[in-house]
Amino acid sequence: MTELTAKGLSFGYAKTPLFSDIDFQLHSGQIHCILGPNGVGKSTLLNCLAGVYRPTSGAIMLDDQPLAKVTPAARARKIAYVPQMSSERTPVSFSLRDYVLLGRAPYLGLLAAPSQRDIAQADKLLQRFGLAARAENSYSAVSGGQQQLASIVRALLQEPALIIFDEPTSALDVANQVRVLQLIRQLAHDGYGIVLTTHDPNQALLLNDQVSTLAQDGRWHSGAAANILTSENLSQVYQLPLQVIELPDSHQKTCIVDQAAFRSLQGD
Amino acid sequence: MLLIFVALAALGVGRYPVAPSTILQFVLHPLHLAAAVDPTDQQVLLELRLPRIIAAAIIGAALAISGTAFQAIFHNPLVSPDLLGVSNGAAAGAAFAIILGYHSAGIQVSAFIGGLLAVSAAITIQHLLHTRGSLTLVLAGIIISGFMQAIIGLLKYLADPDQQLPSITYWQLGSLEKVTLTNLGLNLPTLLIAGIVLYALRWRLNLLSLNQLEATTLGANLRLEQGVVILCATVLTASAVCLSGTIGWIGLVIPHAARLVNGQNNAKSLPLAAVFGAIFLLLLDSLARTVSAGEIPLGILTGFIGTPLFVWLLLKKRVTLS
Repeated sequence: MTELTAKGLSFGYAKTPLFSDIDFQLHSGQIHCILGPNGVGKSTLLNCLAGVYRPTSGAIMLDDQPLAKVTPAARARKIAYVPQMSSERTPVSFSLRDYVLLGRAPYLGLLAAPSQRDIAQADKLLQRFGLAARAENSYSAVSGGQQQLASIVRALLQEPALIIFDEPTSALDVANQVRVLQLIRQLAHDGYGIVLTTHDPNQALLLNDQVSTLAQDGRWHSGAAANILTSENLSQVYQLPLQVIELPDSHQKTCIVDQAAFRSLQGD
Repeated sequence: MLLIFVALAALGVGRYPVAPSTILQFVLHPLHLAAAVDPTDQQVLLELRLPRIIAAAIIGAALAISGTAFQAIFHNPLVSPDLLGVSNGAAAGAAFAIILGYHSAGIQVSAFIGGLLAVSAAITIQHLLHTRGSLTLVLAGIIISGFMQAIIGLLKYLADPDQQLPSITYWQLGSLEKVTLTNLGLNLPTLLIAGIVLYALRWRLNLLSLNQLEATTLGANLRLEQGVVILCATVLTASAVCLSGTIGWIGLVIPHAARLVNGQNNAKSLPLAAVFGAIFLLLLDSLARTVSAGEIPLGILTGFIGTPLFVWLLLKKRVTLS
């Protein structure tokens, strides 16, 4: 059981604070979904939790150790990061196999290269995710969905306890979005602790575990999905009249834009 | 294998041709497999050609290895080892020594110091700007290169046009003519150590070629590891440059050729780049010695042959440079 906790976390560039006084908690087997509009600092928060950025104030603990004191390699054996698929990423032209093998880096010395055992482990996972036929293809030549799967394979090769996903569904169509969410649920079921960011409240409703919201004004709410995903809170977070309703037959909750309010909205 | 063959062939060519059978004899004699060769041949081979051939192979390999390392850590296929101002710094150092009337060893030491000073200045500028991004470092390199070029310009302007100016120009164009066993031996330790460290780090270069976020979350100590790579690549280039003067294009073009053959994985492409670099410079140096009675400076040949080769490689790879 691994646990990542943050207390009183703040971050800002120069004198402009991005967010402040955030409490966050994640443990193995849990899905923690961070919701919020574009540009509020969700990715920055993830970078702090991943140990890449130093928060301006506050403490992050990995189990009972301050995250900043953990060596990069030891941290990478506990926490993996699946980056957002965007065109702004540094282009990668390794073959898929070479790319996913980078996930073994935290277990290899500075001067070492992956062993036959590492390669066999990578090939097994590529097989499991239906990428075996693509192992020799260049990462930049496969589809966005396959790139994302490869990034997930790379994360799994780190044998982490926790996996951070930055906007895992942002570049995908609905069917692929749902597939990724199912995969995330499966990973949590397998015992990984997962934190992901998204801007779609319905994804948080589907995953139905821990949810936090980060609003434009920096307000942060954290708790169980049922307590956080309310019409009132979501409307405040997105500055838009949103309604969380329960479907009559399945009792499934869904978040909609109120149509009457939508019609009466004036472009201001 | 090809490298050994080219090296043996290179022993034979030049103003004083040596027959292939004599070369075989020369190689086999120390192994007690053949009789000693004629003393004149022995002298030409051992004292003139051998140091030069060893130097060509080592310098070619050194420039190609440091080019591969730089292209990896700066995530940019258009980067060459003199990105941070090593070459111009070394040239300024050499020009300074030439003006002061020093000879080969003094010029070499001064060139080495100039190269390291230029890179330290570039890194200092990056620190002054309070950013750690590689783009700032590249910018700092361009600034320092420009400054060093101004110094070279000034020194050339001050130089005595009969003796010093030609030797500064000649040095800037690059040549292996002045290589002897002594100055080769002087540079060999730094070349070997830096080269071996980069060779050992070759898989790690893959990790460092990712962006900062991904490399860090995969457990890289980015600042330290990038620092080691930059230091080794710089020492490698500075040692090579102070032996031969500035030889352009190898560090930029050869890594592309190696990746075309062996793929993007630096663990495989770096050793191949070293071999390619060695063969390439060996061939060019043999050409420089043989096409005309006087020597053609190497920098001119690498430019003439390296640039079309680069275009061809880019066409072949259809690389997108965005």
